[in-house]
Amino acid sequence: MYTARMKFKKGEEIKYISHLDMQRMLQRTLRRAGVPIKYSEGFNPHPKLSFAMAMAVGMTSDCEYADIELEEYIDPEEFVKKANKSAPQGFIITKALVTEDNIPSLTSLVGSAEYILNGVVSEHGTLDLIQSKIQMILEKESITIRKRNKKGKMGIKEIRPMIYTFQATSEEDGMVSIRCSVATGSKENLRPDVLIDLINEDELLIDKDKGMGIHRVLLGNEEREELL
Amino acid sequence: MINKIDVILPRVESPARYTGNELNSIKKDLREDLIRFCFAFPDIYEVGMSHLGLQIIYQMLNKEENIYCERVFAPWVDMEKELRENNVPLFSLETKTSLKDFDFLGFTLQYEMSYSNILNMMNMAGITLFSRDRKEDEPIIILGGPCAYNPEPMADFADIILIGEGEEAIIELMELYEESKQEKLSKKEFLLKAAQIWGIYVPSFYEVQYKEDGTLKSFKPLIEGVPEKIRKRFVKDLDTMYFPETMIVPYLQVIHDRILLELFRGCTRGCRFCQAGMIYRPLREKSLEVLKRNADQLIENTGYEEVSLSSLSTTDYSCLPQLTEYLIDKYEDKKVAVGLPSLRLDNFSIELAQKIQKVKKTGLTFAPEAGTQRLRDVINKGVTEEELMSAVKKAFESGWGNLKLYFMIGLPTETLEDIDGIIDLAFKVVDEYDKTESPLKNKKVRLSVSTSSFVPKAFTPFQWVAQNSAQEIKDKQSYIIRNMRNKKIEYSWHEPYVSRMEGAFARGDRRLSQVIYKAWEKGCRFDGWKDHFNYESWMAAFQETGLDPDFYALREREYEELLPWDFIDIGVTKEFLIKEHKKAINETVTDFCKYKCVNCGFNDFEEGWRCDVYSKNEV
Repeated sequence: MYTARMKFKKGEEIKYISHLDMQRMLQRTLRRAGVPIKYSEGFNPHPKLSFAMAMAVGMTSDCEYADIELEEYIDPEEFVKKANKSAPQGFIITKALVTEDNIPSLTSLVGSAEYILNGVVSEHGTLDLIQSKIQMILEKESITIRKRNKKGKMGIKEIRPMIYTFQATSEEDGMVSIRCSVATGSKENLRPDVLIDLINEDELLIDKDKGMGIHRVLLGNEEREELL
Repeated sequence: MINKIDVILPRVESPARYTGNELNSIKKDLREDLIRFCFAFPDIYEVGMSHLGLQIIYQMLNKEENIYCERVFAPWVDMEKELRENNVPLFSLETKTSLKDFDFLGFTLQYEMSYSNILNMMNMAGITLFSRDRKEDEPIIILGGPCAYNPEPMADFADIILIGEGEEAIIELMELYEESKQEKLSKKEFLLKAAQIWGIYVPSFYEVQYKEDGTLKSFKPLIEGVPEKIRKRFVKDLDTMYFPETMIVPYLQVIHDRILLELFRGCTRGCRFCQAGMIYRPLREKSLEVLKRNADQLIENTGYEEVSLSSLSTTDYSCLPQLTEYLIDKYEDKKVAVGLPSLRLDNFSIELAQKIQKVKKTGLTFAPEAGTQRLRDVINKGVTEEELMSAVKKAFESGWGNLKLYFMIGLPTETLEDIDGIIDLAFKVVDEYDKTESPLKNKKVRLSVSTSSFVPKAFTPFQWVAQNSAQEIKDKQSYIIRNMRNKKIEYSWHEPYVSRMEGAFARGDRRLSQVIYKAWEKGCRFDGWKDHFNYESWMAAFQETGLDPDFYALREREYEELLPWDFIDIGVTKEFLIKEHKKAINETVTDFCKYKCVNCGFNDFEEGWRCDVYSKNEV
């Protein structure tokens, strides 16, 4: 039994595809590609496929990961080439590893993520105001938000340690670009739009209702390094 | 600024319904001289993308260099609200072009209860609804599909209605449009030329007059040079007809999320309630070699994990064993399953079902349609109880536990005895399970019984009969609910008021265009969806128009009456339908016509056509 671990991009063309639909799409892509997929036994055979992280609908990414079990070995470069040839627009595998070894699961490796968020600056907002608000946020030692815990109960959650980097980089045509790095994964997880809410806590600076672009630049481990 | 569509999409359910970009969808450069055609499906994406006709027409038109065919589906209510509030016109999936900017907008009429969606979709792009008011630069509205065989309720909205199979006629129409563009013809001049194409009906060129009692007095061309009768279009040879090598593979899980392989068109069983069995005549099979090639290409180009062998009565295909064997042998290792949508009981082979289910085991579906032998003879469903029970027995012995039985209620001549027959049959099936002794016997049994309510359709031997009233249907349904209580049986049924509306439109005339318009104005849409069907609004629309749905649905007609769809020639003669209706009343069956012609009229429809020639696999 072999595992193919792949790093891929999710582009604009497919950003509204849900996590479940992505799984089915990848299965069909690999089937078309003629990759030797391993199927589960039983009446309803299915490939064994796992993603590092579910992606929010509407998000694009340069750095996602998935594992699939293979029946036999295939050269990683060939795997990438074949799969990309069969992939729909917007889905590109950039790297792969094929191994017989038992490797730690992707979900256990994920610890951080870096995003570029593009939002519409509100009537009162300016890049300066947003930057100084971010500065204020970063200077705080503690930031708490109300959040539903795993049991569904509302609780208070400390999130300051989950924010690694946070900056507003530029403004163009009324759009502000924000780059941030946050804790992600099964232990601690911070959704990037929470940072926009923090910016807006006193005064609406970024108008989320006018749309947001969320682009993941990196899905990394706790050391903020790539997983592959 | 963020594109308005990108602002809206994150707020709606399943945004992938509106974004396109699926595998095998087509991108073209928007050259000025392209003919822009938008295939419009008046229901949501998941329903529309399950439709084989869309996949065929889409790939076929896009093969032409000078044509770009795109798609649009009815936006779900949340999306409609967003589009209207943000002043975004309804757009095509491929290039996000407003529907108003297309040359052609082609709607498929799959069921009567989607008509209000058609008006709504046109309106959402600012297209004038009534064809007589539509301006020169607005798209040409084409309607086609099975309900176009009685197109009259939609006549006032359409520029062109295509009667019959579309593959060849649409191409001819596009060629004509290309020429007309060069010659700078007006829309009316173009339509006049289009009316010469076999299968094309231009409603505005015809006039209907009514008698005092509301029935038709006459149906005549208004101008010279258009045919008095519209002959339905059919493709003579499916082997040489265009069939796509590829299909769009949706991201969303659509209803039929699999390859649909069409084995043949037409059905020669002659079930008297079945419109498809009449309008899709003659039987034309594809040859085994062509089907193998189609399947190979589609599997390779889509990556689908299932091929469904789809036709009206798939098990009638003469090379079915060879085809399934080929597919199983070749694709079992690749885990591509073969599916049969429906099984007949009479030639049902459990071995075949077992074989195809080696890869994936799903439920089995049988359609006895009626509860007693007498009524099955009336509707010409040549299935006996022994055949059903022996098939059920084999199924239980081989390990199936999940069975579905389909029936119709409200059939002509039906009595309480026939309803009891449905209940008895369901209990017998459950008893059969209890009696089954087999090492493979499934630990659980689940029998789903469902009844649909019979709606008489145009061009069937029952086109003259009265439909059951909603109250009669309700009484029959509650009788079944009361008397079929068993925890192993699950019963489902159709909403009787929807059937009443469906019945009115299935045999309606041109005046119903006004009713559809009024109902749409009152907010009717997605009438085929239980939660959205608004009976009161429909009734109000009828009332305001001064029309009565029961005039269309519940009235028994005389053979002499001029019917709204009589101007269409489907090849099957009215004499044959009358003969079949009389035989139905006498409870006499008509044989399967594949081997012995029953003289339905088709052999005289098209010069040089002989039905038997085209069962080529058996020659």
